[in-house]
Amino acid sequence: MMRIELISVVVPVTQDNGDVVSAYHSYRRVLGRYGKPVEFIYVLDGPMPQAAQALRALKNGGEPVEILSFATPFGESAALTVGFRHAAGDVVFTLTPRIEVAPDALPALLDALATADLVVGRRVATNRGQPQKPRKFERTINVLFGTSLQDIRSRVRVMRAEVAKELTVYGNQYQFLPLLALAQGFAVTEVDLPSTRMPPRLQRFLPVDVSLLLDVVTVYFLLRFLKKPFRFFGGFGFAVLALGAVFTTYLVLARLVFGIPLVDRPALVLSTLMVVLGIQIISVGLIGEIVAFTYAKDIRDYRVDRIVEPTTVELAEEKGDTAVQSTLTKA
Amino acid sequence: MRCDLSIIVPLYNEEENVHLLHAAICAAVQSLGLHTEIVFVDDGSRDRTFERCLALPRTDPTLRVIKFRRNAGQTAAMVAGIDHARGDILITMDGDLQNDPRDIPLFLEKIREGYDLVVGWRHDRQDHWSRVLPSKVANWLIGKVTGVPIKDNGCSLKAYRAELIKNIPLYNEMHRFIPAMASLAAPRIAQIKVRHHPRRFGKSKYGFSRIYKVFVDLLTIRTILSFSRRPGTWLGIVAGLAGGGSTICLLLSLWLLAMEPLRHSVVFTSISVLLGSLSIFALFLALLSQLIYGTAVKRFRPFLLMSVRAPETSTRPSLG
Repeated sequence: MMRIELISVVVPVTQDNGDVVSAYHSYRRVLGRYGKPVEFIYVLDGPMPQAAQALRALKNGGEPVEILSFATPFGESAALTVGFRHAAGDVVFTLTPRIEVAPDALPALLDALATADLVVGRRVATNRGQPQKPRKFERTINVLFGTSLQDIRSRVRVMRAEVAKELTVYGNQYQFLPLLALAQGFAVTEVDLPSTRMPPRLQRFLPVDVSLLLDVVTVYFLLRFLKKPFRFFGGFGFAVLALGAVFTTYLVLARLVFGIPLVDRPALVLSTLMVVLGIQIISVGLIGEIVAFTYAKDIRDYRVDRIVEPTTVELAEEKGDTAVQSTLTKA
Repeated sequence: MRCDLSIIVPLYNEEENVHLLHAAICAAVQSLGLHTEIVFVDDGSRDRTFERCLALPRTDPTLRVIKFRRNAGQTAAMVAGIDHARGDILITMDGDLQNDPRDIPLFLEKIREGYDLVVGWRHDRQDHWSRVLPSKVANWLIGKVTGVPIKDNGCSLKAYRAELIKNIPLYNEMHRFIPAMASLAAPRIAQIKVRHHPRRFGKSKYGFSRIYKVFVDLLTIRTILSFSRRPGTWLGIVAGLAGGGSTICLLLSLWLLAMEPLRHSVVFTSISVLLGSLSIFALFLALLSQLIYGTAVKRFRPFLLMSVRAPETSTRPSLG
């Protein structure tokens, strides 16, 4: 069992309202039961006078609250990353500023951390009393990556300190945090949480959820091809280029040998367009490779679990107490 | 703590081989009189490779074991070994006992002769022809495209000067292209024939999807090599070709315009415009690559310094 000296709670605040206080007290009450010190790090994404005022009042009242504020909004991912950098605890919670899950279930999350590096709180609607079916997004992700997560986008999570230290999320990536952790070799599990407030279904203007589709493509690219963009671009580029080349050759041969005219129809324009598009995709992919090469020394491909030095005599047998003898990866 | 020689072995599901390998390496290096360390990199094995490594004696020669949290690939395992190695000379080899540690003294001899990189050549390869033949084609192609003719890029048994290899960016599956990537620093490369044994335990970890990957990676390496010397050249060539095509089509359409009814020239005019736009696109990409080069140039300094250090060097490998 892991030792916990300090529990960190990172709360990214993306909407300005004063009702962060009631949620804070519920969280504080539940986590306080462990008898360990708890630190709360509220990251305000942009100027938020109401929330800032409420939190400052808490802080002045002696509560263990740290308030970080962005001058302009940078998004939830940036807020999380900053919060992670400030977190000093052995375990790091991410929680919502308003209560979305029953706080009494948080200890279950912490217990599950004994066998995992990151535990995601799977939101379960209480009124129906049964886990909801995986949503379209989760189903797509699970098929693409061979995972079996049911609520990837849940914002209630708890992780070991090294997960928080290694994860850097930006843009939309806070939505895929469990996937990023999985990709870095951390063990991820889910625990059911009775949800008091399910996320509202968004109004859709199009039959296909475009932003969801983009997110899925982005995360697929990010996890599979971050350091080998040309494997991705090259496949498309060469396919289009080859089609275009075959088509063009056929048209030119047909014109020269059989005298089939090329005017009055767009065939040759179309085939040339495919060649051009193919070359463009390939060029962009190669530029991507140059960027990857340029930064190759900054992005490590591997994640070290531990290094066994010659001087170490005794060794950890179980995964649980690696902390003593192992040298964890350089941050 | 520095040492003279580091032997780096990436291991992936090699539980039967680990102790044999360790014994073979120890036997090979004991008579050398060098301060040697062995670096085993367990690339997220699913079997008991790591536990077997722990059971080995970790002194004389010193043994360090790096365990990955998950499988990251052979290149990453090699890079981890290279990053953590403390020797002045680094040797990499496969963990499947197909390389023979008894060849190590030959590599050291070459390094002492002044070579920066010594590449093994499995001249008598003990594999099925279905693996040997594609490999021969690939090696020929790699030599042609990268300009570094190595007979056997796939042989993991190589020796490097630490200062050379630690500065070369290696990622993805570039372990097949180490000599080509190393040519950034203009090293002196030697090739020597090595012994090769058939696989005794475990399964080979390669598949046929390699052909596409090698092809694509080769183009990548070629681009990177030409970019780091003359950024923008390859895009200049694309722009020039497209511009040439555009001009030809434009002339053709003008000629058609003069000779035939108006509609006959429409197709060639359109194609001229298309190719012209490609040419402009490539020019802008060339500018973009100049921008990347401008921000990245300080990262290339290690290679430049290496080249300055040894002005008489040649990237032509000699066969010794």
